[in-house]
Formats: sequence, structure tokens, C-alpha cells
Amino acid sequence: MTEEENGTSEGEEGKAPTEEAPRIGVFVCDCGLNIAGSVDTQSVADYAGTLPDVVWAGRQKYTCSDPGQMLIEDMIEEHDLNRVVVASCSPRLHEPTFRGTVERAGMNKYQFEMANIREHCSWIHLYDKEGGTDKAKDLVRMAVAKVRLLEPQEETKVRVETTALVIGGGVAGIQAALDLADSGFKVHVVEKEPSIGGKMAQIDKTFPTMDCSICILAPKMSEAGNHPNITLHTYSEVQSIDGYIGNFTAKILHKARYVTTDCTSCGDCADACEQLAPNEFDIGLATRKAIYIPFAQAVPSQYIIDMNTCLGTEPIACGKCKDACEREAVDLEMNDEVVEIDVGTVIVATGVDVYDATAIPEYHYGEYPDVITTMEFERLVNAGGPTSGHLVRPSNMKTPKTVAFIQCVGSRSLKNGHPYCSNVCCMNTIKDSLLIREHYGRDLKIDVYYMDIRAFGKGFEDLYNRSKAEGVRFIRGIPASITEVPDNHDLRIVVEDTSLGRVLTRDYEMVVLSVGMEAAHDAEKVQHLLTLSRTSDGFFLEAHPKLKPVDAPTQGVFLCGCAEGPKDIKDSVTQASAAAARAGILMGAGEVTVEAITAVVDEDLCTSCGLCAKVCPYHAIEVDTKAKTPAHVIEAACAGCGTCAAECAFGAIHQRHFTDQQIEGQIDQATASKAEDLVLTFACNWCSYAGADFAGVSRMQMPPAARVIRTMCSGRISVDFVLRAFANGAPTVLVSGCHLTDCHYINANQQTLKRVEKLWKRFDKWGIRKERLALAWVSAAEGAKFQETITKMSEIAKTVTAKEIKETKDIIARNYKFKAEKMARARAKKAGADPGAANKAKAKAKNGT
Amino acid sequence: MTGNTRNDAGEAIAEDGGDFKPLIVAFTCNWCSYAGADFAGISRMQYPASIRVVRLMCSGRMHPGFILGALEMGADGVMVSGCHPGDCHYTFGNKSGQEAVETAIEMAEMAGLNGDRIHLQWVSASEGALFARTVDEFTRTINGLGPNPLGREPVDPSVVEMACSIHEDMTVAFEPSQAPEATREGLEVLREAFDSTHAYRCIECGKCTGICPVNARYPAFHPRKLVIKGMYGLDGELAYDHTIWACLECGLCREACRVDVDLPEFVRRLRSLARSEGQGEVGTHGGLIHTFDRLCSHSHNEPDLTSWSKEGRLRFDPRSDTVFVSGYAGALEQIIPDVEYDTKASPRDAVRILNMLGVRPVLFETERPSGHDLYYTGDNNAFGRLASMNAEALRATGAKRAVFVCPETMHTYRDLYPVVTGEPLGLECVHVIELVTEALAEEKVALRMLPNDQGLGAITYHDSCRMGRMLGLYDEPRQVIEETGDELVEMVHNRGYADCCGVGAWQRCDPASRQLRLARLVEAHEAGANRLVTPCSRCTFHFKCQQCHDGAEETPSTEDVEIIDLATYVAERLVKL
Repeated sequence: MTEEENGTSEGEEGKAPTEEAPRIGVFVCDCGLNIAGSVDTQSVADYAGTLPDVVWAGRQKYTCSDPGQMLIEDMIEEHDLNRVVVASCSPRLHEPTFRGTVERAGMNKYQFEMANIREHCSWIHLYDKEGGTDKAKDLVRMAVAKVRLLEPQEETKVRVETTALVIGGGVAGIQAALDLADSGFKVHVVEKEPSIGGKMAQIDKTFPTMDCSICILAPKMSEAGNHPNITLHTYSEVQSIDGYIGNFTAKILHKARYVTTDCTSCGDCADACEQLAPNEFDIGLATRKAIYIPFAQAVPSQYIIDMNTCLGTEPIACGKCKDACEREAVDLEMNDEVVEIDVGTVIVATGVDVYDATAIPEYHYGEYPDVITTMEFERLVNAGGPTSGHLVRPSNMKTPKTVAFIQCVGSRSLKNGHPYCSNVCCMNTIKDSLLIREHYGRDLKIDVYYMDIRAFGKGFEDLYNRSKAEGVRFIRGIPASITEVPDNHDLRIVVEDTSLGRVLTRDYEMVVLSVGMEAAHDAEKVQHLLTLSRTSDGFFLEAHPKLKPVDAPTQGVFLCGCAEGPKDIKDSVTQASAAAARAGILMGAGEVTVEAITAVVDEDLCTSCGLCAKVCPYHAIEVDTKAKTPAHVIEAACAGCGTCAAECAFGAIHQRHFTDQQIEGQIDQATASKAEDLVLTFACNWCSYAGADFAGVSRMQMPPAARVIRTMCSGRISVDFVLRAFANGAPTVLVSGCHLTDCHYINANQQTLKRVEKLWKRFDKWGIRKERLALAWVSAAEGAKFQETITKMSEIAKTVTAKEIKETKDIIARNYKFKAEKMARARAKKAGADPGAANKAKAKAKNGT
Repeated sequence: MTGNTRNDAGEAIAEDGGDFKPLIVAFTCNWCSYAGADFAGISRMQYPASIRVVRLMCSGRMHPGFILGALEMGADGVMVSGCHPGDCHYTFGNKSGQEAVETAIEMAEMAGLNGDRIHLQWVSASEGALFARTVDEFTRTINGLGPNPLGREPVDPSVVEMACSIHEDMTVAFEPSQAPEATREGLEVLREAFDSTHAYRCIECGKCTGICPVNARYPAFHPRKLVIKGMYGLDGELAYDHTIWACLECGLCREACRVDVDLPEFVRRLRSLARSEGQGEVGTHGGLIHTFDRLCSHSHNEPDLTSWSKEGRLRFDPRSDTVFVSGYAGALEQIIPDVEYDTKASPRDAVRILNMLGVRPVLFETERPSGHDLYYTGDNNAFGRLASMNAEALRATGAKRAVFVCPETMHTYRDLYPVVTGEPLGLECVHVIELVTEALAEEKVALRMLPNDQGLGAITYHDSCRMGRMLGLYDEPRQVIEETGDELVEMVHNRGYADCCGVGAWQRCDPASRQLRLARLVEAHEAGANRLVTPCSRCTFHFKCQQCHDGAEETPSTEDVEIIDLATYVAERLVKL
């Protein structure tokens, strides 16, 4: 079996099949009393010594200690070991440690395996030493079965293009681009608006320092515009991104501006233009011409024609701007164009949109002129804004005497809004209240209606106290309604002051809705461009919330700014620098190592059906179904989930280090267990295996029923595996993985769901009890759910009689053909007329290991 | 008094009653009848030991609710006696006593009880013999009728409470610190209420209370504090908090709540809790409407609520795939005779509309009251009985589609029955106005102004709580009104944020709810409307009541607003094309 497996998959690298017989060493760890307290480690070690190919087995107090590791190295040398099993804790904890140990002793680190007899055994069966010891023996036997089949692997490296693509030219995108450019990398920044700057350019002042927003942003904008390493693509969109880590190709659409780079932004054209439209930058509070520059500090400082407002490209229609421009920079014949760039890394800084307050009917935003949003407020108090910085009521252009702020509009709301806190609105309002004080003194009354003031950052509480000291009244309660007093546009608020428990009715001349942030409306498009994931809130999901906060699940892609979640300018900038550093690490190294768990195609068996490519969440498999050429795996793009290997009906694609034969070896040994309530459990590495570990660490007790087989993703679990377990006589099988939206491999667990549902349907048809096969989504935090599931499944297992097991075996034998048999047939066919070889292969396949 | 030979079900029965010992509640006035009974005693006149006398100062104190309430609690008969006409100690109080008895008889018969179980006899202070003879004969009548069919079913404990308290004042009936702890069952109810209404999500923003039309007029009722008390585990205070009975269940707070707490349902469950702790409160009009519904909720009774269908040449077809659910409560006219409103008009006009649209519906002969009011006042037992009987009877008609005119009824059948009975209703539910808009779109019918509509001025549409917030029918009625060419103006509070008419399941009619009703009429007037159309007969009824009781002196303006029922409005103006 080993020979066959090896010969076909590693052929191209010319690696010799492992002719040498396996020589396995098993090291059983006491872990002080952590394991030895409830498992008889000596008897486990003795048992291990009896297993085939095990040439050395023994126990130690602490295997991970220096003397423990020394012993492993010594034994490898002394007994010429070529395979090592350590039976101790979770591989999630110490696999890297022991891989290093065996590597130092000259072994290939991929020929090492762990049996988790602590988190998955001793800690969860504290009061059942006999059951725990039996289980530990099973786990060691399973690990030995797998290690015997493990192949040496070499990790490959791929080149990384030293150019980065930054999508989004807000403050986060600008910062990330500058950091990378200053490090010497080329950067392309794509911005959909005519100028970079983003939302920060529209804000008047920043909290908590009250700095002028555009004053601190504009230098950065112009630095980005002039930097020799930065290419700006404004008024542009990313159309597609293909490729993989280090080697992406992006197509960028440059929309026609109708003004060339010859523009000096003198403004003569706009003076000549007679067509008006609402000014987007001022949120419609003022107008602009059809030919315009978004704002004074715009980068690039270049005019643009809005064709929806312009009378037309035909010079006869109007053409006044063209006539006015002395530099002849107006080009009405300009067309959209697409450019293609190669980049090694991508930084997503696509920002956010502002919540649309018209969705809350009781506040009548958009209907009552003096109900405005915070963004409109920013423009009204900004010196560069439509009123030159005078706060006026839109209804009568006079300064209001009373202003109310309403917090949490569109935030912390399950209805007409978003459930999360938008993070910046409290501080923004406090800042705004102080701006009003600065401009108009104490005569202007300010009331802030809030649920909670979240002033959690550095210098925030100070600012809050300053606002209170300035006589701004903070009233705890969110207004139920706003009605307009008919004659004078005054706004009547009805609100429960929840501190006093009293309903107040108050009139104001202006109401500012402190609107929250929501995921950018084109986030879905960006998501599909880069196969990213989004949380239920709509923001992009990071690879790990604590330890990889700016890495996207797709390798080579990084996140920063509000695209990842609502945050203020400081946090956006911090995150942008972090993302730039992460991207810089990849590009600085110039190449990247890929863990040797990627998929490999057996070209002889591939029928070019394209199924593997279809289920691959990373588009890492190329197959031309028309030309019938075999599938090809782009190794650098493959993340190693194994979904393709589980899906292939012909065994033509497999996952290195998690081959069918290796996993089936584990299944066979697990089902050979004496446990009557056996729950053969498949768990994905990231969520469910970690969840089981968590149950162990938390000492959650359960019957010693589970025999856990770890795969990287539940998508690796094939129909064959499940049916093989049942055909071997397993009373119950549990398939577990990450919750559907949390898959570590984007959405590979959707395939798991499909397969299990298909199996249930078959069970119905065949007459096998459906509850014997369970599917449980267990996250890394759900130790209790793992405990509950195993306990329940163990009860079900006890109800399965020997007769039922025999019937199941017969049903499967009658109705199902395993992949191994199909492969044997296919090989026989390829081998031509040698029936002897075919029969031999078939016999091998049937015998498994 | 004639010897009776049939029971409530109309079966022949013996007069001696066998082992049956009847229980009769007798209401007597202080001056004549009670004295007459005394006289019978002094004179050692013998009569059966079947009566329990309740003394009133005047028979004018009688309320139909007392009579029906006594029957519901298991009395086999109710006797009322007072001074002879013309002899009343209070000039003509006994006249209203007589009206109360007549109403009670009519309603009892509608609910399926034999009216002979209620008897009125004038007895003067000197007529001891007459008193004795009346008791004797009435006892024999009751013997003939047999035991009260309702006596066999357990009576909701809050009904007992009901007979002795009529809520009038606005104060909280207890000191919070004195509130006893709730029982174990009560705690269970509270926990369930929290889970099912998501009350635990409350983030204390106060929008519910800010928008509550009751709180604005009666601050002691404080929706947010009720939830907070639940959170803090002050279950005893909640069970004994009588402010919960002020809630109108209008659903505005649910509309405003940002975290989707079902506050009306929370309050409804608190009412169940209060009932289980013996803290129920009697509804308006002596609780008559609730009592009537409860009487109809007993399977022994076979109510007949089809009287509206007898007039107006309506066409029905028992084989139709459409059944019409009238929601006719029957009792309204009996209760407030001084309000000029024919409650039969609404179902009748709805069927007229259906006929005009070419639909001859099945007449739902076995219809019982929907139980809407019992549900919202927390009487789960009686509502459960009505729900399963009505749902089953509706399915038994064989129709595929149920058409409604009463929004409360439609909401109850469509949204509540499936939840309470645990099975789908099995029929499609539509409001008659939806059928009208469909027919308009297909240009089968049109709406034309009546000749005398000219110059009547603008119309405003009042979204009733059930029609709007619960059924979501906002556009259809407006579309129909505008179709006639009438000018439609909107009140300040409209659609999802429309204020309530102030009637919440007939639980309270207090200064707060009356102010609310008045405010709504003022709003209509300020909107420039001379006519107000509403889809709900309860709204119509109460707006009219408001106008004839308060309107005249205080706010002359509101009197000018004519209140029109939506079905009537449409039926009068619909023409076939």
C-alpha cells in the first residue's frame, strides 16, 4: 500500500519510495500526574511495545522537558527509528516542539505523530482509570497506524512579487501605502472616488485632541500622491483579482474623468459650466458644477466631469468647459480603460458607509429640514464647508439656540439598524458638543440623549468631563419620537429620562442624529474578488481575532481600517501600519513556505471532471474539463483543507499528510476498539478538535467513548470514511467542524454538510438508523457542547445491538462501492491486460493497511 | 312563571329535578324586596332553601355583568327583585334594573344558555307571600332546566375577584414593599415571559416608555420599569402591580423597541401571572364582554351570533370555498344603548361587498367570539377553549379561504390560533379590503362618491392597532378611500406610529384612555378632516361614545368629525363595472 501510494504521488520529485521498513518509537508521557493520575501509562507503554513495527516504547515523566526530548533523540539514534509517536497532550500545543526534536535527530518532521491522551483522555475521564487506560491504548494504536503510513515531505517555497495593491484610499489605505512605499515596495492604491482621503477628509475636527482633520490628513494625501513608489488609481475600481499569495494579477478599471493630467485645477472650466448638481462631498448641503474638483485639497488635484449632469460629450451640445480650458485638458472623447497589474500582496482598506437614518421613520430624517446627521454637522461646522463653518438651521439659515444630539442611531439595534456598537459616535458627539461651545459659547444649549457613553480610549474620559464641565447636558434615554412644530420648524422630542424614570417633552431648533457605521455597500463585491469571509455584521473576518487580527483568511491578503470593523482614525492608522508590516514581511522575504499538507493530483486516475476545482474554496485547482487535461493544483494557493480529496470519486486527488490510507488506518484501529459505546469522532483542527481540547482543559467529564481523528477541515471527511467506519462495525459516528459561517477554509464545511445530509438520505433509504451518524458544529470555545454531544452519542451507541451492526455491514456491502475498489479497477484498466496486477491492487485496497 | 319542560339544549326534562339541588343567586333591593323577604321570614312562610340573597339599595344597581357573572360561576339561576314600577325608592332606579335583566337574558340566550334561568319579580315590603311563591316556582323552573351546564367546568379564580371589584380609581392598589412573593407557578410564568418575549435584551433606552400613549397620561404605568422589575427578580411586585391593567396592548412600544422585545406580550403574560396570583381585574362595563366570551367558551353552550346576517338580503352559499368570519360580538349594542351605532352593520356591509365582488361566502354558523379580549387580558384557559373550537369549526366548513372584516378577529385567527392550538389554521386569511383592492386592480369594480359626499370635506384614516401594526394593512384602506376621489389627509401619528383609540381589549375605560381618545379626535380635526374612517368597530364605537359623552362642551371641534366604519364606507360607494 505504501509503495503504491508513494510511487504515484511523489513521482515528479523523483523521491525514492520508502523502501525501508518502518521502525517506530512510542514515547508515553506521564505529564506528572496530569496523565498518570487517571491513565496507567506503564501499561499503555507496554501495550505500545506489542504493536507491529514498534521497536521501542517507554514512558517518561515529562516528555516535553529537555531530558524528555533528549531521550527521543537518543532513541532515534540508538534504535535507528524512522517514525516517532508521542502520546501526551494536544498536537495543537506541542506538535511543533516534537517536530523540532525529531528533525534535530535527522528524521523528517512529517513522520511524527501525536496521540492526545491528556486533553482527550486523562482529563475528561478522571474517575474511570480502566476506561481511560483502554482508550489511551486505542489512541496510541491509531497513532501508530497513521505514523506507519506517513511519508517524508518537503515544504515548497513560492516567489512573492514585491508590489502591493491597496484597495481603498481613505486614511487607512493611505497609511498602509506610505508605510510599504517607504520600505521600498511598489504600491498601487485604487480609490473609487475622484480623490483619495475618504471619510476623514470630510470630518471637521478629530477627537480627543481636537486637531483639524483635513490639516493632518492633507500632508499625508499629498505625500501619497507624490511618492515615487506609489501609483494612485483614483475614480477606479478593481474588476478582478486572480492568482494566489505572492502572485496576484489585478485588473483595474480607470473610469473616464474627461479631464487629462494636464489639468492645473485653475477652475476656469467650472466658472464656465452652468450645470449644477448636489455636492457629494458636502452631502448635498451645497451644489457643485458638472465639471468640478471634489474639494480644495483633493489628490490628485485634477478636475472631473460628472457625465450624469453634463450636457453631453458632443461638443455641439455645450463644450463651454473645453473652450475655457487654456491647457486643453478637457477631453470629451476620453474612454474607460482597464489596466492589469501584478502584485504579491493585497491590503483591503475599503472603509465603511454611514448609516442611512431615513430607515427610522419616527425621526423623520430627510423630511424635517432641521434633523441632520453627524456627517452633515461636520460639513456645517467646517470652515471649508457650504456655510464657511457657521452652524445654521437648514430651514432658515439662522444659528440654532438649542441643539439635541441623539446617540446610537442605527447602532445597538436589532431593528432598523445594526446590533453592534459603532465605536466612535459617543466621542464624536462629545467632540461636536465642544466645537459648538467653542464657536457659540454657553448661550447655545446642548443636550445629548444617550444609552451609555463609551469613552474607553486614551484621553477620552477627559474630553467627556470637559464637555460636562462646559454645561453640555447628558440625558440618559433615547427619544421615542420627533415631531415638527408646524409654524417654526422647531423639533419636539418625547423621551423617557431613564435615570429619573420620567417622560420629558422638549423642543429644539436642531437635532443631530449620531449615525453609526455600516459595512461598505460594495463589501460583497470585494469579498468575492478575494474570497474573503464576512461576519454577520458585514465586516471582513480576520484569520484569528486575537493572534492574526489583520490577516485575512486568504493568504497574502490583509485587512485594515473600518473594513474590518468600526473604529476611529487612530485605530485605523495603527491597523494600517500593522497590515503594511505583515505584507512587508512576505514581500521582504521574497518567498513563502507552504506547509506540506497541500493536495496532489494522480494524473493517471484523473478524469478531468472538474469536481475538485468546483469545491475548492481557494480556486487553487485548475482543470480544463473540455480539453480533458488532468487537474492541476496551484500549490501556493492551496490552503490544505482536503475538501477536494474527499470529493473526488476516483481517488485521483489526495491531501499530503492526510491521505485516505492514513486516515483509514486510524479508522480501522479506532473501530477495533473494545468500547461498546464507541463514538468514532472526526474533528477539524481549528474548531472542533480545539473544542475537544477545551473540554479537556476544563476537565469536563464524559464517558470514554470518543476516538477522535483529526483532519485540518471537516471538508476532508469523505463519504468513504464514514461508511468505512460503519462497515467496520462502529455503532456511531460523529462528524464535527466549525460553525457554518466560521469555517477556517472559507466555506469548505458546506461540503461537509452536503455530504452528511446525503448520507442521512441514504440511511433512510437503506434502513440504517439515522441518529447513529451525527453532525455537530463545535467551535473552539464550545467544550461543553462537545461534552454534551459525546455523552448523548454514547447513549445512542449503547442502544446499537450486535445484530444491528451486522445488518449495517451487510447493507453497506450490498449498496456501496468504496473508492479504493474503484481506484484498483481504474489502475487495472490503465495497466492494460495484466489481470494479475489488477487483482493484486484490488486485494490490497480491500485489506486497507 | 310557567313550568318548564326543556333544558338549555332544548331536551325534555322532569320538574322535580331528582337529586339536583339548585343554587339560585337572588338580588333584592333594600326597601321593598329585601323587606318582603324579611316579611316572609317573620311570617314563617316556607320556601326551598335554594336561594342566596345579595342585598342592594336599589335594583337599579343591577348590572348585566353581575347576572352573567353569577351564571358563569355556576349559579343555576339568578333572580332579581325590586320595588314595583312607580314605587321605586329612587324614583325610577328599578327601570334600569329591568333593562339590566333584559340585556342579561338576551345575552345569555345568545351565548346559548336558557334565558329562563334569569327571572325578574317585583316584590313589595308587604308581599312576603309573593316572595316565597316566586322562590318556590323559580326553583321548580330551575329543577326543570337541570344544573347549570357550566358548573362542571373549573372557574377561573379571577372571575371571583371580578364579582366584587370594579376598578375605578387610578392609584396603584398596594405599597410595593408590602407585595407578597409570587408563587412557584407565578415565577415559572415570569421566566417564560422573559424568554419568549426576549425581555432580557432590554438595553434601557426608554423608547417604549417615551412612545407609550398610556404613560403620557398615566405615568404610573411604566413599560420599561416592568421589564426592569422582571430583570431584578421583583416578581411579587409585578404580580401585584395593578398598573399592568392600564396597558392598551396597542403595540406602539413593540414598534419602537430597537432590540425587538415583545412588550405587549410581556404585559399580557404579567396579566396571566396576576390572574394566577388572584390579582385579576374586572374589565369595563362590569366585565360583561369578557364574561360573555367566557360563557361562549364552554363546549356545552351553542352560541348563536348570526343575527346580523338575517337582514339586508345577503347571499350565502354553503358550498363556497370562502367562509366569512364576522367577528360579531353581539354584546355591544346591549351595553351602551345611548351610543348610536349599529354593530351589525360592519359584518353585513362586508358581505354586501363580497356579494358585489361575486363571492357568496359560507355563513359561519358555529362561530363563537374570537376570544381576542380574553387573550389580551391574560385569560389563557377560556381563550384556549375558544381557539380550538373556532379553529376546528372553521375547518369543518370545508372552505379554503377565510375572509374577515374585523381586524381583531383576523389577527386572532391568523396569528394567535396556530400558536395556541399548536396546529396551522389550514385556511388562507384575507381581509375584505384586500379583495376590494384586488378587484380594483383588475378593474372589475370602482368606487364612486355618493351624491351627498360633495362638500363634506376631507377624510382621515385611523390605523387601528390590529389592522396596522398587527396585520400590516396600511396602504389598502388608503387606496380605496382615494379611489372615490375623496380628499385623504393624514393625522400627525399615522401608519405604524398611529395612536390607539384608547380601548385595549375592554380592560379599562379610565381618564387616561378617554384623554387618548379625545387626543385622537383632536388630531383628526387638526389634520383638517371632517370624517374619520376606521376599519375597527371597537374604534368606531368608542370614538362615538367619546363624542356623545365628553365632546360637546369641552372640545366642540371633535364633534364635527363624523366617524365612519370602513366596510360601510366602501359598501356604500362600490359599483360594479
